[in-house]
Amino acid sequence: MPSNWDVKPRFELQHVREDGSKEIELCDLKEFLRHGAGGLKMGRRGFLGLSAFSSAALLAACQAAALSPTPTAQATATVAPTATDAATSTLQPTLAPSATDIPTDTPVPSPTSVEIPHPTAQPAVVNYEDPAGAACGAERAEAAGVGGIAFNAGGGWLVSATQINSDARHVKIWDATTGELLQSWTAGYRIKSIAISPDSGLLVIGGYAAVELRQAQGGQLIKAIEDLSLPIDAVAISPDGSLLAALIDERELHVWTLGGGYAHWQLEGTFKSVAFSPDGTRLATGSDASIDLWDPASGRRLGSLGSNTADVLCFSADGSLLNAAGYDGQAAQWEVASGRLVHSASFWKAPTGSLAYSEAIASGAFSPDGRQLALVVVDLTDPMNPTEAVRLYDPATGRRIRTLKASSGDLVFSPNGERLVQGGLDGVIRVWSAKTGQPLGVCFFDPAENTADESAVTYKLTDAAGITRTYALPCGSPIPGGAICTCNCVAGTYIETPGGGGGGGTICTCVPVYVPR
Amino acid sequence: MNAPAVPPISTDVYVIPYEGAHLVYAPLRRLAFVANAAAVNTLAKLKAGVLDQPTADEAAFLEFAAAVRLTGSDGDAPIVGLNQPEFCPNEITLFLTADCNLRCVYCYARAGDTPASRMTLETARRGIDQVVANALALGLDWIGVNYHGGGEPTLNHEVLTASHAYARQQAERHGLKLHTAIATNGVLSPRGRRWIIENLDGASISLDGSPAVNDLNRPNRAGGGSGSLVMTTLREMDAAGFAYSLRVTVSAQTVQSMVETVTYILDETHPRRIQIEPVYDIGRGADAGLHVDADAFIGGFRRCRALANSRGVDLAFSSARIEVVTNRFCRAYGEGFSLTPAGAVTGCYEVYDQDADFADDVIFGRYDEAADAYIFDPKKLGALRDHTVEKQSWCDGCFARWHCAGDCPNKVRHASVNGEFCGTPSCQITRALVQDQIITKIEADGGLIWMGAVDTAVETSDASAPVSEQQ
Repeated sequence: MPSNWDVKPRFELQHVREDGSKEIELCDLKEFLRHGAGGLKMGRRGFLGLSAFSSAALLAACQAAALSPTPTAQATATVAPTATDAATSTLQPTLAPSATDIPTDTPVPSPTSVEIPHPTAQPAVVNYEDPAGAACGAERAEAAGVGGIAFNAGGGWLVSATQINSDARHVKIWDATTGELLQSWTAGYRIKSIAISPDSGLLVIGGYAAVELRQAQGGQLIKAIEDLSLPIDAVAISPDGSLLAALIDERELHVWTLGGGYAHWQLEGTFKSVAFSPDGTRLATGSDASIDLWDPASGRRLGSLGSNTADVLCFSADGSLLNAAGYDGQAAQWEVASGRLVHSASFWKAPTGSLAYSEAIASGAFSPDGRQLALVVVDLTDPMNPTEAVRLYDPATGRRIRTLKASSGDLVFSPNGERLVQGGLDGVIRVWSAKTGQPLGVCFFDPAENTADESAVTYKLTDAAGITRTYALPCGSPIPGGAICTCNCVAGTYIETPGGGGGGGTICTCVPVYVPR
Repeated sequence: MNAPAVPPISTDVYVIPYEGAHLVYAPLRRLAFVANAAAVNTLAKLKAGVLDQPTADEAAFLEFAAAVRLTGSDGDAPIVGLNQPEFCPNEITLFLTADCNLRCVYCYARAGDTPASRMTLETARRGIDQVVANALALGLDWIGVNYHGGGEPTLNHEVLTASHAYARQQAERHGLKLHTAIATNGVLSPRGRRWIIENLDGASISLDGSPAVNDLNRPNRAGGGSGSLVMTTLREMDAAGFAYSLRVTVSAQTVQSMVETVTYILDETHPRRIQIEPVYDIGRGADAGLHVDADAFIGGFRRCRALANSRGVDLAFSSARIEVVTNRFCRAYGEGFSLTPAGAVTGCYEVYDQDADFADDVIFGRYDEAADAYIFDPKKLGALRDHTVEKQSWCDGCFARWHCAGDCPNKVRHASVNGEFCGTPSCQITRALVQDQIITKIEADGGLIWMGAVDTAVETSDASAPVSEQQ
C-alpha cells in the first residue's frame, strides 16, 4: 500500500479503471479444485489466482471458456460455503474429482453428510508405512504443538511433550518404529524440557517452576522438586541414571542425586546447553562465551574448552571428544582430555543489513557420532509466509549436506544415528533417514488430537484375536493392508488398489469431502 | 418478461487495490473477496443505480453478490458504542502519582519532570465508593479498580495497597466481584512484585526488547538501564502463572530490532498478549525526534506477527482489529472514570492532570466537598460521549474506519491542525495491518471468500487486556 497517509482515503466503492489484464482462465484453476477449496493451504499467488476468479465468483467443473474482461459466470457453477455460514448459503459445493483417482466418465454424485466416528471413542491408531514413502503432513501427534522430544536409550520409544505455551501438558510415549501411541498422560506443570532415564523407567520433566520425576509407564509422580522459581530450560540424566542436571532460566545449573535424599548442588552463571559424558564422569555446559566441564557429583570445575557459543553439545560415544555448535553459526570439536581443538568451522552466517533477522536458527541437535549437525532454520524473508527447514551440516567443514522441509520445533537423532526426528510446533512429528534425508513415512497420530468433525478416512481392521476396531485417519491417507474402508467419502468414488506397501493387501484411499461443522 | 429486481447495495463497501486486482471489503457484512475491475464496476453501477438491465454475466455475478450478502438490506453487524445510555461507570482508574523511577525517552506524560503529585487514600476511597454505588444502582455484580500513570503507580505503594484493600472490603461487603489490574513499568521492588502477583488479576507491563534494546528507550532516572529489572519481574510472574500482557514501544532507534525484540520476548517471557506501538509525538516523544517510519514499522510488525503466530501468541496493534466493529476507539472518552492524583475526573489516560494538553475539554468532573458528591460538567461530558468516528470526516472513505474508529482521540487531537484531522502515519500502519488481517481471513476461509462472524466487544480494561495507553 503506498505511503499516502496525508491523502484523504477514498476506498469507497466506485468505478475503477479497466487495466486490461488477462483474467485467469477457468481451466487454470483445476489444480485448486482437485484438492478442494476448503483445505488447501495456498500461497499468496495461488490465493490470488483463485480469488481473482471470484469476480465471476462461481466455480464450475472446468470448461473451455476463457474469461472476458466482463465478469463471467456459469449459471450452474457453485461456491463452497464457509463453515460459519453454511446454513445461510444457498450454494452447494461441487468439487471436481481427482483425475488420477476416478475415471473421467464417472459422474460425481452430490455430497452426503456421513457421521464420522468420534476419535476419542477409538483406540490408538495402528500406524502404517506409507508405501510411497511420503512424509506425514496432516496427522497430528499433538493439537497444541509438540515441544520437547526425546528417544529412550534403546531407540524403541519416542517421548513427546506438549509445547510450552499450551496448558495441555501432555506427555506421550510412542513406538518409534511404527508410530503407535503407547502411553499418554498429563504432567503437573507446563512443560519446557524432557529426558528419559537410561532404563526407560523414569521420565524427567522440566516444567515452569518445578522438575517432575514420573514413571514412564502411566506417569505416576515419583517426586516433584518444587522449590524452583523459574522455568527449567533443559534437563539431562547421567548414563547410569543416578544424576539429574537441569538448566534454569539460563542462569542456574542444578544437579540432583536421584533417589535417597536427592542431594543437590547448584551453580550460578550463564548456561545454554548441558550434556553428560558417556561414562558419567563429566558434565559439560555451554554458554555464550565458553564451554565448561564439571564434576557432576560435586560441582567442582574441571576445566574449560574454548570461547565459543554453545547452544548444542554432544559427547562422542567414547567420551573422548566434545562437539559444540552455536546459533551464531560456529561449530567446533575438542579433545576432552587435552582440551585441544580438533576442528572448527563456520556453517552459517546471520544475514545483515536490510535482510537482518530474515533468517534465524531456532533449534539444533548433533548426531550421536558428531558428524552431522541438524538445525531448524526459519526463513522470514517473506514475513507473511515464514518457512522453516531442517538443514544438515557437516560440523567439521561447515558444508551443508541437505535441506529438509520441516516445521519449527526441536530435533533429536535416534541413539543409533539412523533417524532424525522433529517434534513440530504444528503438532506433527516428522521422521527422516539421517543418512539419506528421505522421510520415513512413520506417522505419529493421536486421534484425540485431530478435529472430530473434519473429513476423515475411517476403516475397520480385524486383529488376530478376531476383534474388529474402527479407526480414523485424515483424508487421503492410505490404510493398512487387510483393512476395509468405511470412510465418509462420497459413495462410489473410492478406489481400491490391489497391492501397495505396508505388507501388501488392499489399500483404500478416500476422496476428501467437505463436511460442515 | 421483466428481469427480477436486483437487490441494492445498502452497506459500506470498500475497494482496496491488491496485487493488480481489487480487494472488495464490506466490514459490516464481514465479507471480503478479491475481484477484477469488471466485477467492481458492476457493483459501482449497482450502487449508483444505473444497472437497470444487467448483462447475463453481470446478472450471474450479482447472483453471487446476493448469495454472499453483499447486496440486500439484511446482515449489517451492529456497531458497538457505549455500554450505558447514561454516564454511570462501575469501573475506575486511579492515577496514583506523577512520579516515576524511569525517564523513558518518549513518555507522553513527561513523568518525573515535574514535582511529583501523589493521590491520597481519601481521594481513592471516594472514587471506589462511587463505582460501588453505580454498580449497585445498575444491578451489576462487579466493580473494576485499575491503576495507571502518567507516572509509575507502584511508587505510591501505600495508597496502592490501601486502596486495593478498601476496594476488596467494599466489594465483599456488597456482594460484588472485584476486578483489578495495573499498568506498570515493571521496575519493582521484590515487595512490589509479590504484592501485584498476590493481589491483582493482571498487569500491563512495558518492555521494549531485550535489556540492551529496552534500555535505549527506557533508562532509569539515573540514566542507567531498566530492562534486566523488568525481566526479573516477568520471570517471577511467569513462575507464578500470573496473567500479564506486554506493551512494546518502537522508536527510531529500536525499529531495526523489532524481530529481535519479539524473539526475545517469546523466548524469555510468557505474556498473554503483546501490543506493539510506534512512538507517538506527544510529551517527550514530540521532543525526542524518535518517530518511526511507517513502512519500517509495518515491515517489522509483519515479521514479528509471523513469529508470534508460530508460537501461538497474539500480537496486536491498537487500531488494527478486524474482529471489532465500533465507532469508538476506546470507551475512555464518554465512559472513562479516571482520577488524576489531585482527584479530578478525566476521560483519558493521557490527560493525567490539569496541565496536560486538552485538559480543559477532557477533565470533566471533580469531587464537591460541600455536596459530598462528584459533579460533572454536562457539556464536556456530552462532547466526550458524542466523540465517534462519524464525526471525523477524514475517515469517511477509509476501509479501516469501523475497526480503528478514528484512532485514539488524544493522539488525533495532537495531530490535528486548526481542529481538523488530516491523517497520521498511524493511518498508514492501520490500513496495512487491517488489510493483512482481511487477507488472512480470506486465506483461512479457503482462499476464496471470507464470510465471518464478528466479536462486537470494544476492548475493555479487563484484567488480562492491556491498558492501551501505557507508555
